[in-house]
Amino acid sequence: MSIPKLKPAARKAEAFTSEAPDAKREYKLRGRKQPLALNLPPDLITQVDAVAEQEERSRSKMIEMLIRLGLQHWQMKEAA
Amino acid sequence: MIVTVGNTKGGTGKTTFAVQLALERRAAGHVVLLVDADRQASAQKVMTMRAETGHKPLACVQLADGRLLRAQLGPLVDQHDDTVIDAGGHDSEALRVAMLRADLLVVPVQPRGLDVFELETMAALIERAQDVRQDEGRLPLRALAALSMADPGDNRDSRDTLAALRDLPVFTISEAIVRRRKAIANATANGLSINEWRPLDRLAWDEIRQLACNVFNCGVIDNVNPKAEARGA
Repeated sequence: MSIPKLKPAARKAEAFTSEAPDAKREYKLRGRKQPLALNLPPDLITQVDAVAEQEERSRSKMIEMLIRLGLQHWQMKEAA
Repeated sequence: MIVTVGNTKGGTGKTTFAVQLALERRAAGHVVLLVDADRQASAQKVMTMRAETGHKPLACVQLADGRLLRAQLGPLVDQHDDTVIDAGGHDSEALRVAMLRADLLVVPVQPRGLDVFELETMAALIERAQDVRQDEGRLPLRALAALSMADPGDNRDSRDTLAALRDLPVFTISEAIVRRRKAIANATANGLSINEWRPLDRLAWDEIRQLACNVFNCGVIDNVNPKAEARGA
């Protein structure tokens, strides 16, 4: 995962320019979802795509489902 | 050197200044880029007119989107001796980006009441840009205000506007006063420098030359580009 972090001075510059009346916001949330850049090993992506095809779901939906399953698994392990 | 021509007030002669300064600077032997950072794209239109009428083209790009301007300006500036940015006549992201990157901000001011009222808005924006530049370790932005489209001769409107500018310490006042002259308007509308326009208006040419002298000497002496300074330029 690679989300660039701005240095404090750059943040101030970003705030200054983005306060202009015509400025566009960098990230616009669509509904309740937020875009995310994710770097994964190619073999993992191949496996995710294979499962997604089998389940007739998109790659992003499949990744979302797998993360949810992983989190549930982790929470159950924590509770035990 | 990066020169931004900008004002939050519209119709002050920004494109005229930007086009004439860029052409005058190129005539002095420098490699110049004109950046049109205004969505109206007036500078780009007149530069197209220039190329289509068989005159030697001047490099001109339109980067009216603030984020695009920020991303593209660095590499473009490196390829030219001087970059003149024509920033739109309102408070825009592109104007703010151009203010953060410029070595010199040229503010054309019409000696009219409404233009004088808007000076305080521009001064406040310059002060905010100074604050950001200081945090980024950049040199302070020098803001050079120059009277544009002034009435002929010595007149009260020009004197009052100069007095209003003196009350705003963020501005350095240019010695050059560009008056309302048909030759300047017509030359710019055709993408030509004032010395290319015929019949030659010597008074107009003197005014533009004095403005160019003020602009580029200001930048060289007092507001050196830190990047160029670091390279030993």
